[in-house]
Amino acid sequence: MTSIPMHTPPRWSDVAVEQIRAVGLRVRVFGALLFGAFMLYAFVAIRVAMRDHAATEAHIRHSVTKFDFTPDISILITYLAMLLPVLIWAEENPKRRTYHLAMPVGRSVHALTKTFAGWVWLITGTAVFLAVVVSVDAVTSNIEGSATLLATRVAAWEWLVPFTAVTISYLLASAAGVGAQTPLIWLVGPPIIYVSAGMAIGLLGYPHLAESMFTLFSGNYGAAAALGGRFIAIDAAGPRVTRWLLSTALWGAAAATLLVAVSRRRATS
Amino acid sequence: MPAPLPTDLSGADLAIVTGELSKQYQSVAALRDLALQVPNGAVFLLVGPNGAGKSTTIKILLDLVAPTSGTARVLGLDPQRDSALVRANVGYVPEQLDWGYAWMRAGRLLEHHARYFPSWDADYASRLFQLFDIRLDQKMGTLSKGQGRRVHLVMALAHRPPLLVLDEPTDGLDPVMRDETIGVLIDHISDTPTTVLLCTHHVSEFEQFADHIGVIKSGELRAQLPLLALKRGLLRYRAEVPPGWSGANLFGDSALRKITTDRDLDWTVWGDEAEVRSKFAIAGAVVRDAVSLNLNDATIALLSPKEVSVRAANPKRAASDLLEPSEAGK
Repeated sequence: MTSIPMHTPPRWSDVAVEQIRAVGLRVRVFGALLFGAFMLYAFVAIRVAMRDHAATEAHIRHSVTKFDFTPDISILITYLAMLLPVLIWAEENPKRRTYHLAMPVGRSVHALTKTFAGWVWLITGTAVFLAVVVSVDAVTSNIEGSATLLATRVAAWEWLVPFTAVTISYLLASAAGVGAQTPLIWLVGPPIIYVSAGMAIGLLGYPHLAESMFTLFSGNYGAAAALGGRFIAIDAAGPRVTRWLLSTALWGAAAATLLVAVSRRRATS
Repeated sequence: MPAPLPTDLSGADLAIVTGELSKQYQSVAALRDLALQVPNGAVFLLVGPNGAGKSTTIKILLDLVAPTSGTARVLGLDPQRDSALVRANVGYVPEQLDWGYAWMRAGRLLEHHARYFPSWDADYASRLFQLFDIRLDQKMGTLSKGQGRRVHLVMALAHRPPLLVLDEPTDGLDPVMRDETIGVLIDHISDTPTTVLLCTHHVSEFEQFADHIGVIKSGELRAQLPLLALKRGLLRYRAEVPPGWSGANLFGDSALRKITTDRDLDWTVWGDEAEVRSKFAIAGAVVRDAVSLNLNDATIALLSPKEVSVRAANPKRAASDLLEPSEAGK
């Protein structure tokens, strides 16, 4: 055909590394703000512990300010994880994604690689968050002379909940970021409709139907179990792990399937 | 009757070929059975009015949008099946000026782009952005149209692709930079064996190095042929005609622009010159001259057929007087 040799597309690993760098550049302000918030939390927690330790009278102690870790805490970073894809795909909705789509990488692979790059930063951020929690706990426990989280209070698998929760949340939000012109509407709209519809059905005299609807969120394998380890019986160690694993697998697979489906999307004009 | 305008270049070794390519955007037909044929090594100008389907054609060739029906081959590859490989071999300058990441600095965007093209020639890129005077530390979103366009040109050229697809590459550039850009393109083509598909409204800028032209209007290909053939075959004839001359339909659709008065005519006709002259003679018209058109006028004739006939009202008025000021005296 041509008198010069055909060029080859880039290796996936090169694209992935470049996407990790580019996405890192994109989210650096968000990351810096988050890191600042973690540091503020650490500062406040240590100051409170020091003050409590110095206080001799029990009524001055502020037990409510005791910073702790349970799987529920991942709800906080789960919400933040939802914002990340909006930031990553901002200015690149399907109508304006021609630069991304014009690169010599398969459309779906490229969208998923960019999503992967964001996930790498998300997991890094989650790890930093947990590292701050553990460090603060170690310092405050030392000050107060109590046992650390790592020593006693948290089961090994519970430390994984934040990572899986943010992953599911991030995948769902990425599906909106990749597939929708206005991802925020898709992130906020369906939950509002879901809750409103459930409440309306309950008020109209169909409480059982409303309850059935809400099991999608609060049921054995509902979103709350997957995203925050919530509503899991405290005293049933075996089933807790099983329910968390199953709900995570179910919601993770659903989110990944949705993302893969929308990642095949071309430019719309 | 002279031959119709040619639309077939199938004898050549083709870098781009489409077959019955159609694209429907809801109720709007953007392309209708397009059979584009770009010869290998050609500098092919694809011209047409806004909304003719030029950019849609390019997007289908790069698999940015899917065709409704029809086929396309780019460098022997199917863009839908081998999309990544096709894009690895194409240097693309899109129509839109805000292409790329507005939040990224120009230098970082070029670095980002380079990592996607293993054949990126860093020395050449460096020479280009010195030549184009690109400010690498500025964010893309803050660049002027012309500055952004220059970054796009570097992105398209620096990996020395076998195929360049340039959609309005000089849009937004000032006259000096247009001249520079055309010089860069000429140098690039002479250094790197490349096929160029170039969509533009500024055809005269590229007349010096284009060698083929395709004319598209309302999603349909009106003509595609070598420029040399166009210059030889599309001529403007000025002739004297006897009073009451009735040769208005002498050449059918091959007469693209017809200005006729009681005593003379000024027609742009496609066909073999000898044959056209002979037909005029048989019909009683005496051809005074037949001149070849520059690319701009040829494009206007191909895109905008026109027929003006003035009878009796002012018999002394010559046909050339009826031309618009921009066309008169050419």
